Amino acid sequence: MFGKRPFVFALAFFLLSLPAGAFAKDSLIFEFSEGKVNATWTGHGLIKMQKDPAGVILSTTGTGIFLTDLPEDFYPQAAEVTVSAKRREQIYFVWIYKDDPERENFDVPMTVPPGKPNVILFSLSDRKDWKSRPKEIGLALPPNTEVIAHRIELISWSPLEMFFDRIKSFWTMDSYAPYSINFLWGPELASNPVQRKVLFDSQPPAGFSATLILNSALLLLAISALFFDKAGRQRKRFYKIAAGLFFLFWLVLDLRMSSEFLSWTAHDYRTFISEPVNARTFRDRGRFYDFAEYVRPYLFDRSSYVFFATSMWPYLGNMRYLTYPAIPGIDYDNDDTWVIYGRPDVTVGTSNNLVMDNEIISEPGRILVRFDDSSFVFRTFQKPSPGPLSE
Amino acid sequence: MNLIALTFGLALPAALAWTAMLLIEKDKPVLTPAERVVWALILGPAFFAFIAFLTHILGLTKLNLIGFIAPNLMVFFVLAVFAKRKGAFSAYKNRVRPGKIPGPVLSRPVMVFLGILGIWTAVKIIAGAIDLWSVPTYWDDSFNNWNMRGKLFYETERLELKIPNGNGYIQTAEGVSSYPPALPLIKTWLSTLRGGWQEPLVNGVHLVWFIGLIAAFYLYVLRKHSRSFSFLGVYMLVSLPLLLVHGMNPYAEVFLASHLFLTVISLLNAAEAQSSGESSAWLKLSAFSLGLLLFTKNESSVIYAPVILLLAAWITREKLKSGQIDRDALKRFIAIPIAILAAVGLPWLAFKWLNGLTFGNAKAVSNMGVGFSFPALKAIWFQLSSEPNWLFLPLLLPVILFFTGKNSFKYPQGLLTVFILICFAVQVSIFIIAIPLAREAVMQTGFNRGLLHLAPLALLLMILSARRLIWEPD
Repeated sequence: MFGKRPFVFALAFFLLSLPAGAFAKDSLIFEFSEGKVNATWTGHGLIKMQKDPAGVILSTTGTGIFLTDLPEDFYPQAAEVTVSAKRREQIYFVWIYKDDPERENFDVPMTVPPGKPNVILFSLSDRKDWKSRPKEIGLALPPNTEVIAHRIELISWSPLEMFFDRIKSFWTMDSYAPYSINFLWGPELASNPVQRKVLFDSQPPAGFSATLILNSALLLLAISALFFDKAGRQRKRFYKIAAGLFFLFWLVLDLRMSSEFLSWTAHDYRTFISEPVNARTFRDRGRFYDFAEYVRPYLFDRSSYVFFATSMWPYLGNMRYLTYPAIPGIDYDNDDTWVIYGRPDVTVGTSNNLVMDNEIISEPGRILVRFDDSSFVFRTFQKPSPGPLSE
Repeated sequence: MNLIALTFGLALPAALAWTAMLLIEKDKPVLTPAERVVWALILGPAFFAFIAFLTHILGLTKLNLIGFIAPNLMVFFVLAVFAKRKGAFSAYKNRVRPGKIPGPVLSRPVMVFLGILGIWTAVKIIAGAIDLWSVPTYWDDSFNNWNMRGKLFYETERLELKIPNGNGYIQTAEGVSSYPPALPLIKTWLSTLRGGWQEPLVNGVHLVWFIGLIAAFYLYVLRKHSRSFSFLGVYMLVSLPLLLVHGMNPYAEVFLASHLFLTVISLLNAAEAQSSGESSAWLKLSAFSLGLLLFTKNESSVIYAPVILLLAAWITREKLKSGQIDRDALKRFIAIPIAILAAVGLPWLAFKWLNGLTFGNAKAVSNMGVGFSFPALKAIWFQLSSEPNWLFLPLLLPVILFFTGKNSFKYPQGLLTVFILICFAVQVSIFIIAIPLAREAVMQTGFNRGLLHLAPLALLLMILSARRLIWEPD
């Protein structure tokens, strides 16, 4: 009789009656650049703190912790740490509960790559050990570590923002990964934007399974069917309504999962299929397949060759297949052909040997062909390794 | 060129299987022409590979162009001559034309909705097919097993059981070589025909089994229900996420699943057939398909074949009870399917035995330690409840079977329920009891792939049961 109007009014009234804070994102920012430090920080353990125009230089000779108090009325759900280092360093975002006599350290590990300042984002609210209790927060450094801390931002979102984020995270897609042939994580619900951003970066994902929630809802619906009269017409009617709801759920989850599949094929098309050979990359394998194709002509008359890659899996098995009948291995003494993929640590030394970590690893020889700065084919001057497999 | 090679490379195997099935049906054709073409496309490549395998291990041929074509052409002509003599070709002219099952009159919005689902399904298949055809071999089992062995056979023209691993090491016969060679041999054949190992060709062939499975699913449901309902079934089949991923990748699971689907629906058709002649024809087709199923992956001989034989025995008992066959006809009713199964299935099993190849996949069943693994059970529960690999199938199927009650187990549809429940129980048991497989369940590397074989049949059971429960009178 009144149409949809009362519902619209009710929704508008509900939204207007919410306090402004219900929509707001709140941040607590700790600055470290000279003249901008806005909190009292203390060092514990073997840590040295030194002011710098860009931030505070933290260096350790043993394990050191750099701490400050977190205001008690503030419960952040995520953190954004800006930090830089001269070489790759492993440090930790750390917190200690003030009421804990043991002063146990809880932490989130962070890897700091060398070079310019890095912004490291991570969620806290999904961690069981992140509780709403008075605490100190800061950074922990292992022995012999040096980093510059530029900024720490702790972020809190309102319940409404988090609700909308959960809906958005349902549509956040995983990427085509080696495990996608065995299982699919499917939609995961993140509790805040930071968690959503890094949802599938860890295994298992950081969120909560939306599939489990949908399955539970459908199970409740199925259980409610038990309360209908067994022989009545009402029961058939209920079955039809239930079937309609089940199908609706099916459509929604199919839309989500098929969109993920299509996003994978679109990604392959954009980054590999439609790109020129010298610019294309393939999923997590970079330019490996073009590299293998590029070096194949230098291997066709060899039965085996030495192969170095960034890691043994998946490159060794894949290379065996792609270059067969030439087989990759580590027969340093007998093979004259060395195929190096993505190894900047393997170079040609002054006496024309291959060198790794300042150690000579091959007989003298020369680079036959170079694919990129860290990938090439090298052949020694020694007698050639055996030819193709005989019949 | 790859497309031409694929077309010609599939035409001969399909013609071979088409003729073989016509001969099996003889004067009593039970398949519709469309079904026979789809079945020939699914079963043909494995049958073709089987004949090449047989003549090769007997030392008569190499795995080269002549080695593939000559024995297969010979078998094709022999089958064609027999089919002609037995009057199968003339019977084909009076081919099966099942009456159209009238569906409900659909309103315009429903037609539009079905049209949208059709476009959505087609988009997924086309996008996946372009991807499969255009990207390199990415997955471990593809480059370590199926494609690697195909390339090995192609380069050496021999059925090599040992794969060189580098540094003088070899992957022994107990490893991936214990998997049946049908799929690698098909890839070898296509590359031999093409004159070179081509990634789009050896990977693209996998589309045939996925499209074939979809078509076989549609045609089976069409025997019982309207076009719109059959189409809805196809939409739901293609929407199973992990099945779609496998359908569009060079893995062996859909290859197995399509053979298993044909084997089981042949049994269902045999059970529902109204005459002994039709039942017998369906049983023989099932035996032919089962023989080839053994040649697809090892799960077939270890898990599926025993359950299928059990179901065949159940059908025979019911046929005897109903008087459709008498004691005198019984021997013939059983003997011919067994002979077909033995002719197609036994050579591979004997070869395995003689060469010390393991039963089980790369891990031998006989060498597995046994012990209950609670983490494996927990991982299986997680995969079924919290991952959308099969959308809501793991929940809906048991719910519908619960509400259908005893009717789910009544002959003949009970055959499908029993098959799925036994195979599911066996798979779960294996993963929680066999120690190396329990690790796979926890790491999520094996369990879902096993379920994939059953998924099309489980979906079929779900939609048929749901339809009966909701729309048919009590």
